[in-house]
Parts: sequence; structure tokens; C-alpha cells
Amino acid sequence: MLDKMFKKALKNVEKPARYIGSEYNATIKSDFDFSFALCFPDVYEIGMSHIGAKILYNILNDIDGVACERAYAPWTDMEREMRAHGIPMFSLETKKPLREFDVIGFSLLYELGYTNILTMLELAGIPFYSAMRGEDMPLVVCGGPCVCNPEPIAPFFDCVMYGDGEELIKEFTLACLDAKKRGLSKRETLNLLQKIEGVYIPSFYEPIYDGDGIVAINKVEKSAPDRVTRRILKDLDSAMYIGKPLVPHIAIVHDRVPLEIFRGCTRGCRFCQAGFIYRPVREREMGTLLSQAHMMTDCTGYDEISLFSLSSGDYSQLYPLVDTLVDNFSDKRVSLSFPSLRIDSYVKQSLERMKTVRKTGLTFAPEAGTQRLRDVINKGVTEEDLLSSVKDAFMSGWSSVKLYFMIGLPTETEDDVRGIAELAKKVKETYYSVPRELREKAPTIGVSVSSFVPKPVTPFQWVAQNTAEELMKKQAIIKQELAGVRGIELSYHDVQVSTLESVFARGDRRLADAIVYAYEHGARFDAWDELFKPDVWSEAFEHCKINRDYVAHRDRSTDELLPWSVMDPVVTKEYLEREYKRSLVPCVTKDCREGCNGCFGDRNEDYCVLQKR
Amino acid sequence: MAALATEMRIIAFFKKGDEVRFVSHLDMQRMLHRTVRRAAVPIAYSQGYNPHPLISFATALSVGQTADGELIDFKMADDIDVSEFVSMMNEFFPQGYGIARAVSVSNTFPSVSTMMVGAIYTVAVSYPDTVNDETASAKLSNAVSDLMSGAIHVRKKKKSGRRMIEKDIDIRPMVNDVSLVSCAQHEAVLRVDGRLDASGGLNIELFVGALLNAAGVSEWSYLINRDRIVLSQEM
Repeated sequence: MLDKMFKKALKNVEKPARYIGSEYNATIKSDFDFSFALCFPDVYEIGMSHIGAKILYNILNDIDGVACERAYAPWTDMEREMRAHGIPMFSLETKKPLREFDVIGFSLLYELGYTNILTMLELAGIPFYSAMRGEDMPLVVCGGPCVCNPEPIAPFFDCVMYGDGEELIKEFTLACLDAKKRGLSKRETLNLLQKIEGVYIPSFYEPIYDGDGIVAINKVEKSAPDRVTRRILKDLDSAMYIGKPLVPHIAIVHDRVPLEIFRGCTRGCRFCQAGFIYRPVREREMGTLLSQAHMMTDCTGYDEISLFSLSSGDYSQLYPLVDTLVDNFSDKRVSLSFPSLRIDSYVKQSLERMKTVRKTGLTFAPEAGTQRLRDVINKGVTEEDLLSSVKDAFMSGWSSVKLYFMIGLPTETEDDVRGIAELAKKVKETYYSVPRELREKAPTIGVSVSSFVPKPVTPFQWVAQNTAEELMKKQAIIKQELAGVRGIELSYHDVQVSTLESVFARGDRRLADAIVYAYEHGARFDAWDELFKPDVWSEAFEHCKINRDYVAHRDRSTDELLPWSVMDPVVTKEYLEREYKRSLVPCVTKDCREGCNGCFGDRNEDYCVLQKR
Repeated sequence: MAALATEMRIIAFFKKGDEVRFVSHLDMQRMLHRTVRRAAVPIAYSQGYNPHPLISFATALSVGQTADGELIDFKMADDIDVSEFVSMMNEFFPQGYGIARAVSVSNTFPSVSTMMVGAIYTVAVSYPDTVNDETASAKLSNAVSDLMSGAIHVRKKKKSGRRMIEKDIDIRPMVNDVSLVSCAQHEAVLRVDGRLDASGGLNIELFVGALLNAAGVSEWSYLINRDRIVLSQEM
């Protein structure tokens, strides 16, 4: 039964079913020794679409004596109601206040959710800074791609988990459970936890600043490791997956059965953080995938399966897999969708088969407008590749495609920017080159232009991001080039949002104060255009004396001590530096399925799966 | 439509409980689609490009309300024993939903929405600790007599073209009967008998709003349950 006050609050909010829990396949344990709240600092529909958290939910609830529940950031209307009615931040499964959990773990997928962490902590009655939390407070931890540079949010967390979570979360939780049973203090527990590979304890390290920069990072705790190695799951195929997927009451962003066919990517696009931090590539066997697909569709009632990975076209058994899935599921009225299609992959063969199942929108990501710039970023795709794939799609009856581009890439010139508009126009011309009888209607070419944000653990981690002014100028060029062109729909991102993202991506610990300041002055859901408050952030940086230009818009020397240098991504600095230098030539680097590029240095033997084949 | 092996339809009396009161009608339809798939009952599908299971509600239920006997019509692709259908479905519903009973009818049986004549609601009104039961009871029963003795004007939001406009309407003709059942422990229970047919019916939320307004207690909170849908013939 729902509490009376809770129901009163839910009457006043949009999408109240975000907050009710009791989804099909949710796990509710009444008998447990240890409780873990998996938190996501964004709304339910987004958080529930995240596969990583679903994997952790399944693994944690599989442990005897451990109860794992979920919590998502309340939308601003619900936050208001919770404050008005004195409702503490609660878990969906049992509506238990977050403060009563042993561990609160946040999944951090993008930097612009940081203020929502504070909303959830404050509503839970938990102090923001780990240093302010006593023995009576839960351990507050985090993981996910953002922890490649955990520094801007490090002061908020007791522990940070770096890398694949499957084994890490289990070892972490078992150690916590053991510490709880033995009655260990928080400090003693942290000492125990730091021995687990992939666990970073921010309070054990202290950066030494000089002006805007960092000159050293000292260890406060002598036994702390010099560097924290990213945890890498070696055997994906036999690892636990999401189990019986939760079936939400309301439509979520990815409302289908997600089949993770492989992890990692071999392409080496130089702007792409995911391409480096999920290395090496590890596949699941076809048989494993097929039985997972059956189990997950049977126990959810979903009628769609999506093949999920960073580059599904690269799955070594893609064609037989699609054949098998189509054979097994078309009678069951289950359709297939590919979320990220590579234009140079098996597209040509797959298109026809996909169409028989469900015709979804087609997206292509050439990323840059000219070949030179695509070589700089190592996007191994040519204009001919793109146009021939697009033509195949048009011949097969598609009339709308979406193209993804970035502006602000290193070495970009005005010609490169114009190239985006030109390429879009060529795609449109390609449509009209298709015989009239095969065309349904006028084409819609969606052109989405985002602003490049240099990320840690990429070859571009040293480069200056374009300033907001430079980015706006580039947006204006494309707008002008495409003005009055029918059938091409241009969309782009708010440059203020992209520059803020850049500050958080590569900033240091001193940013935490700015996040608190902005939060206290109303910043929430910064990734949502309608709620983004650039003035509050400017004020916050000024108040906390953060030099945004120094953090985001400055070329760094490769000798510079980076704020995240304690975090060891296993991909070596030498490799990233070499890739950075090659990009400036520009010189492309081949896909590592075609031969080893040595990204793990002398640890290739330990980690690279491809090497062993 | 391709010939089906059966003419069978199943009309189920469906319960929506407290846990899921905030699930919308559209989301509940999607829930049913998934439940029939999980339960693997032989449901019939529509033809066309995106086939969907042939399941229809007699009428929608507003977000925030619970119900004990919503009517749902399932078109079957194969014969199935009704009690087996009920137990298979009940095994696979999310928490908070269930089928209390069901009857099997043939394809020629009229659509249940055309058989609806009314609905019975239970409204639970919570009043604050500072108000005693006698006062609450007096306020509400006076308001009931007031409202029922004349027109009940409410402002209804309505779509006019693209814009939302507010319109004054009299909902008194839609109310058959109202009674105050009990008033104890800071909760008053009202029973409302309203009209409901395929073309529309009593907007219970607006009615309760008007009632609390007339009693001068518009800040009191309330919960609505639709006890049953009244049909022109028993099923």
C-alpha cells in the first residue's frame, strides 16, 4: 500500500508512475543483512533504460543476504512535493528512506547529472561531502564512465568504482557485508575496500594546487595504491547479465529487450571515450545470446529485441545471429532493432532483413564533413561509403535518415564546417538519384550537429575545446549553408551546455564546491535545455574561483599532471599520446581486429582477448 | 481479417489496485499487451503492419483512481477454458492488477461499452486531525444536499481546435445519487452513483471537487475507487 502523504504528493506531479515501483520482475526481499540502493541521477525513464544498472541490480540481488533497490532523481515537481510534505528520498521497491541503506551507489553516465546527485542526497538527509558524514551515514559510492575523471565529484564520494562492474560490485559488496558483520568503522572498511582492484578512495589522495593547475597528488593513506587500475571483466560470455528484465509501468527511452552482443569497440575513433574505456572488445557467443533472448522475451512480454553494443555491425557473427533471431522470433511477433548502425558494416545485407521485421529510423554518423577531418578523428568512413549505404537504404524504401556530426573537432577549419552542409546536400541528391518508382515521398534528412567535448582517456584529452563563441560561429555557418534547403532538418546543441560538460569532464576537485553552489542556487537537470541555467553556473565558477578557460579551452602539454592521473585506464598514456600525434598529421590507425596497435602496452598479454585468438 | 479458429471473446472484470493507481490508461493497455504475451494465452491479433492484440476496455479510468470491476474484452484466436484463462492471466499480472472473474461470449455479443449505463464510485475523503468526525460529517452531508438540490456548475477544460478553453457545464444530470456512508477516524466515505455510457459520463473528479468546494474544504484530499460499472443486463 502506498502511504497517504505519498499519494497526496503524487496527485500533483506529472507522470506519477515514475515513483511507484512495483514493476514486473522487481525484486523485493524482506530478509537480508545488507542493503544497497542503486541510484541514477536522472529521471526514471532515462535511468531505467541504463543496462549497466540492470546488470548490477541482478548481480546484487543474486547475493544471499543482500537486498538491492533502486532510486531515480525526482523531477522538479516531485522534488517540490517531497520538500512540502517532508517525504525523504526513498527507494522504489520498499519506499525505504535512502538513509537507511548500507550503501548508496550512483551510476554516473554523463557529467550534466551531477547536481541531481545533490538533490537525491539532500532529500535523503545525507551531507554532500564524505568528510561531513559520520559513522551513522551510509557509504556513498559511484561508478560508470564519468569516473574516468572522478575528481569534480570526488569529495562527495567515499568510494569510486572504476571499470566493468560485474565482478567489482560483488567483491565490493561482500567486503562491505563482512565489514558490517565484524563491526568495522568506516575508515577500517575503506582500508579493506581499497585492496579490491578498481576501487578508488578519494579521501586517501590529496591534490596539491598551484594557481589553476595541479602540481602533485599526494597519498594521505600510505597503503593506498599509487594508481587505481580499471577493472576489466575478462569473460563476458559467462558473466551474469540483467536476468529477468524489469518491465516498467510507463514508456521508457529504451523500452525493449536489450541484448548486449559485445562490449568494447575496435575502431579507435579518437574522440570517442567509450572506444577506449571499454577495451578490449569481448563478445558473447551466439548460443548465449539466443538463450538470453528467449528468456528475456518470455518473462517480460516485450515484442522487440535490440542488439546492443558500441558498433553492432562489427559483431563477428552478425549475419548468422540476425538469421537465427529472425528464424526464432518472427513467429512470436518479436521484432529486431539495431541502435547503432555503422555505415561500412554489414548494412547492405542487413537492410533487407530488417525491413521484413520492423522499419526503424536509420542513423549514420559520419561525424565530420570532410575526409581530412575524418582522418584526424580516425573515423574510417569515406564519403563513398556513406553515400552508397544511404543509397541502399533509399533503394530499400527508406525516405528519412539522420546524420550525426560534430563541430569543434581538433584542427577544424571553416571548410570542414561547410563540408557538413555539403555532405547533407549530397545525401539529399542521392535520394533523387534513386528511380522514382522506388521513392515514397520527399526525403527527410535530419542533420544533428553536436559540439565536441574533449574527454579524458582519449587521444584528445589534451586539446582545447572551442569556446562558446567559436562554436556558435560554426553553427551559424552551417545554418547559413542550409538556409532554405528543403528536406534537410538541422538541429544542434546548446553551446553553453557543451562547454559546461567540458569543464566537468577534465576539471579537478575544486569543482565540487561550484557544483554545490550551483545546486544551492537552483541548478537541476542541467542536461535538460528547459532547466539549464547558464547564469547560475557562471556565478558558481566565479564564486569558487574556477577558471573555466584554463580547464576547458586550453591546449595542455602531454607532460602536464592531469587531475585524473591516479586512475589507470589500462590503455597507456603513451598510446593515447601517439594517437594524438598521428591525428595531427593526419594519419589513420587501423581497426585493431586487423592487427594489434598495442594500446595496453606491456599489459597486452594480460588483457587483450583478440591477441589470444 | 484472416479466419480465426474461434468466435470466442472473453469479457473480464478487472481490478486495478492501490499500488498502480497512478498508471495511466495508455500504460495499462501496454501492460495488458505484455501480460497476454507472458501468459501465452491464445489472443487474436489485428492485421496490418504493426499487429496488436485485440483487447479493448469498455471505458477508460483516470490516473489516480483504483477500480474493482473494469470491463475488458479479449478477442481470442483459439478456444480456451475461461477459468484457465483467468488463472493464467492472474499468474502474470504485475502487482496490483487482477481479473476477479470472466465470462465467455460469442463474437455476435454486443460490445460491452454499448451496455454501460452507469458506475458506482467510493470516494474516501481525508480530513485533518483538527476536524472532528461530527463537523466533517455535517459539512459533507450539507454539501451533498446543497449540490443535489440544484444545478452543479463546474469549469471543465476542453480542447477547442488547438487551444485549451474552460467551459462552464452543469454535471447535475450525470449524478443519480450520492450518499455519505460513514465518517470516522478522519476519513469520510461517500458513495456516488453516476451515469456512464459509450458517449461519456459523470466526471467524478470534477464532482468531488465541487462537493468539497461546496463544503468549504477544498484542501481536503480524497481517493476515488470505481466499484463497478453498471450494465443494462447482468453478466
